[in-house]
Amino acid sequence: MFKRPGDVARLGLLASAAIVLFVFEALAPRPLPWMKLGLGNLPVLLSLLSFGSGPALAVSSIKLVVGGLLSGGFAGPAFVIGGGAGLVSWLVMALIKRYTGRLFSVVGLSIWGALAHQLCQLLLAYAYIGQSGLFSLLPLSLISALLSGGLIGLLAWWTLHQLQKIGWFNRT
Amino acid sequence: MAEDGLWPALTWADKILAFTLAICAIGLIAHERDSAAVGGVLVIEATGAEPATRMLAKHGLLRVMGLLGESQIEIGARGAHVIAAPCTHKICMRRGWIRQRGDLVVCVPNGLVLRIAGTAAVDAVVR
Repeated sequence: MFKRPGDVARLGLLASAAIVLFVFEALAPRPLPWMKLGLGNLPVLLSLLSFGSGPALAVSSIKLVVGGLLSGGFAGPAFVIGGGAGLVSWLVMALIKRYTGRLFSVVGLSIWGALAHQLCQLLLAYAYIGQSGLFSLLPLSLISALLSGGLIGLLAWWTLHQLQKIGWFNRT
Repeated sequence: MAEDGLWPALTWADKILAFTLAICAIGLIAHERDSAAVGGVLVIEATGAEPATRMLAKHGLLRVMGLLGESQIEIGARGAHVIAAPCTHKICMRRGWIRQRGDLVVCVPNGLVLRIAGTAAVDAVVR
């Protein structure tokens, strides 16, 4: 899992970044009430690409628990729905990365993660309140997955590019 | 890991995925738009209660009990909107007015869904 001495520190940095981005996004105004870019998923994606699925799950879990505590929504329905969707998103990205090789780039991987997140969120919300009218949000969920997944994927690609320049992947 | 250049090398699979998603979303939206019109009825679905309806032409204030407490819904000339809710983030209140058939307000914490259905009553017929 960790091949270099500094990997634990690097993962800690990614987890901290995930918490900061998650809380920042919860406080920032949104153009539409249900639209969220999912900036907190950027460090999760970076962890998946840099360290593998186990460390990415750790970053995702830390983000959800600490971010939920800091934003005041811990253990509430929104936390359960968002948290469940976050874990399914991680699982889908990890499986696709593992079993499809280089079929998808960072951007494709991110879109898959966002799509899994949106669909799981709808299903969990339906399981919680039991109203089928929720599925009217499906087209918006698909658009949101495409835009947010694509943008986070591009940001992840750019960040990896910059990290490579400063020697993030060097064996030190 | 990342390549040089300003744009990542998107694979064919990426493009097919993005294209499929976009087509599905556009198709669903077009389907909804075809059937969209100003609605006449507000359907109120609260968890644990039978769905209730209210004519949009009948303006006034509704009080609905949800999982957390009471939500207040105003019905007016612009449609219906949530003016008070016991949830933390008040996303249902920020949704604003709904009026078109199929428009939706969802409050997950309070277990409440508001939906516009039916057709608007005809105000006048002109020949």
